[in-house]
Amino acid sequence: MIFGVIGLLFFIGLYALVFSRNVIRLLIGLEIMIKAVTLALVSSASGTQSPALGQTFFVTLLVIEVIVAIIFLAFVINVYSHTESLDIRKLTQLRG
Amino acid sequence: MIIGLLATPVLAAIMIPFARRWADYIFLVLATILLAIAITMVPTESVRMLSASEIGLPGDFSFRIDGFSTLMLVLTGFIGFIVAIFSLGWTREYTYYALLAVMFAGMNGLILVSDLFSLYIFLEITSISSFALIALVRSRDGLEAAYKYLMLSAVATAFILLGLFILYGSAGSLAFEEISRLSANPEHAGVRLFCLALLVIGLAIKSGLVPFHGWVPDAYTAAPNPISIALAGIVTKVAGLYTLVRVTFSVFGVTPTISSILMVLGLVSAVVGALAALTQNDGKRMLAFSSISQMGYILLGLGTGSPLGIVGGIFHLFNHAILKSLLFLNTAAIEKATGHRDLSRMGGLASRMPVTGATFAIGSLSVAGIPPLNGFWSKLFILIALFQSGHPVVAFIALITSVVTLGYFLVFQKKALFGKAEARFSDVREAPLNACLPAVILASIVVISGLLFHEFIDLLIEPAANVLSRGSGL
Amino acid sequence: MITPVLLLIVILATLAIYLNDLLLGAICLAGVSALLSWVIYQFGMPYAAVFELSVAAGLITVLFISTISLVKPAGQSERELGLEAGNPSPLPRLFEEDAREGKALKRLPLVVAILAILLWELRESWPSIRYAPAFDAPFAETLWHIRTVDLFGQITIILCGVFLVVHFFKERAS
Repeated sequence: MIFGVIGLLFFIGLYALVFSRNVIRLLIGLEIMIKAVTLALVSSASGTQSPALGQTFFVTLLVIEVIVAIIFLAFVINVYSHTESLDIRKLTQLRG
Repeated sequence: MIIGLLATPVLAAIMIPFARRWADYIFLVLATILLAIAITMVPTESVRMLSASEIGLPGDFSFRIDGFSTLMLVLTGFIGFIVAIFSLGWTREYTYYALLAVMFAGMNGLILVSDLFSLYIFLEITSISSFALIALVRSRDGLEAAYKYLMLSAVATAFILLGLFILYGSAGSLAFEEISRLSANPEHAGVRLFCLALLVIGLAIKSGLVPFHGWVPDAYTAAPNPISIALAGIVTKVAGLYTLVRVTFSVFGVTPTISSILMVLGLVSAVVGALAALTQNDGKRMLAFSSISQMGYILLGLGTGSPLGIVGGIFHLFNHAILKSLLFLNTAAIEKATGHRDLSRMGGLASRMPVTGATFAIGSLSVAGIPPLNGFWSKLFILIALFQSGHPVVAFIALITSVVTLGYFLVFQKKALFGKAEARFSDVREAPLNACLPAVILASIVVISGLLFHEFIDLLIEPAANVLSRGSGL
Repeated sequence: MITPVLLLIVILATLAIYLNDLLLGAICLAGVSALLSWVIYQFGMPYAAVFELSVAAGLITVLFISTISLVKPAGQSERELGLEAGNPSPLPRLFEEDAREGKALKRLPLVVAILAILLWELRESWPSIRYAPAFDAPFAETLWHIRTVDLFGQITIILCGVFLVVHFFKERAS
């Protein structure tokens, strides 16, 4: 049951990543994927012998992902000040 | 010593903001120290697990040192040393050197870990710092490259984490030995295979293998030149290929299915990369596709699982690190001399830049596989291993791709360096010392390891290959 | 008791992407984090739950909202900032006219519903998991004494982020 939810959340996030044009929506999709992963961690860890280890992993994971989110947002602000747009189509010219 | 490898870069990174004027020298000193430590660790007979308490650190985790680890540590230290020399006086921004230091801390850690979660931590450190370094460029191309890298890297992390945590639930632990012990257990094999698939997808994205290579051409091209050298030379190898191989061989164990998957991945990357490289006009972009192709070769050799294949694969990994760094160095020198990288507008620079011309010739001949340079031997081993393990068609395709490789490198050489010197290049001068010296060092290694390849393999490659062969079920 | 909450999480996550208004999307994300935090508590991990609540539902949402405010041109509402595929805005356009974002994203709830039904039908073949409501005492010991390498990793990544942000904002100021 829980794996279904994890899979669904992961899929929603991936879908958003693939089909979004707005970078902030992309980041929301990424965050949803990470939430799916944290749910996977919690459900896996509660079944093992040492849930405290799972909590430790959780804390570290969250710290790292917060830093990633901060970096992403700083990058978005930087991109915006260069290109005046949040559309990734303007940013990526598809080349070979 | 392990503390040195991990703590020294972080300490240097903390020190650099306080000593901004000497940032580049600090990094050079750091790179030398790391290389020295790595070299002292080389004579390693077997797998050694050093628990934290043995080293004097608080905590209850352990580090793993074996032949493969020490080889990668030496390689990382060496390329770091080259990059440090080239980066002397590169930029006035201290963040560049600080981020480089953090990146090397991440890579060293990645090589030394012995459980999957720590692997994730150091992988993230490496990815984030290399993203920062790519994004340091101010051009529009740089932003696009950095964005693609960040996006794909984040997706790769998500895949790796999902595989990791489901595996945690199934196996009860994330330490390498625990998982490899459980691999013999047929229970839950389906879950384990699924997790391995997720991990392989994520790590293939980080390695830049086809079809996950979308970020590689842009990132290698648009990054500042020393970062291109670092990226192509060591980062994709450590953060991507080494981790992939480590996880597949030492943690999960290679079965014939996994071996086929690795070989397919390798072959596709080798072919697609080579074909795409033919059509490029920008020197760095061509080298980027060539890198994708050569990484495919490495994986092809390792994927066979046979001892000769593994030796060939690891030797090619070493060679490619040296060679690509050399070629990117030369391209950087050419760019500095002529002001651009467009191959169709160059010509005859070799007479004005003898060192660059000579080292570039050596490098490209080796990548194309001309004896007696080192690239020839590693490719030969891979081809023979493919033949021996019953894949003659694959060997044939790889051979043809090798000819294609020779083709595009000869074209590159002819366009840029040989031929008639154009008049507008009359005041082009040779690159400065801090670019020539690394190029000469690298080229000498290419020649020496080619001539003395037997001793080389015995000393460095064989111990690494033995470690992997033990994990191979073939 | 957990099942309807999980369902709500999926619905909120879909909403977060589907809505045109980015600010509402960020708030939906916060809602997902809050509900997730409750679910984690039910799994017997109080420290992780409070971390998720304060960091993901709090810190990250604040970051999102401040970024959205920073890139919003003065005078325009958030509505124009999210892509409106069907209703072109009368104000100067920030994006090209291309309905691709609208079509694929508008199909998301449908896709999710189909997948959810599929998964529900297959629910017998999923491996089971048990909820362990026991509260484990030595969390602090695990974090500080056993997994000290994690702390080293955290410090290094924070360093990395600091350098990167310093560089980006120096560039922006210049």
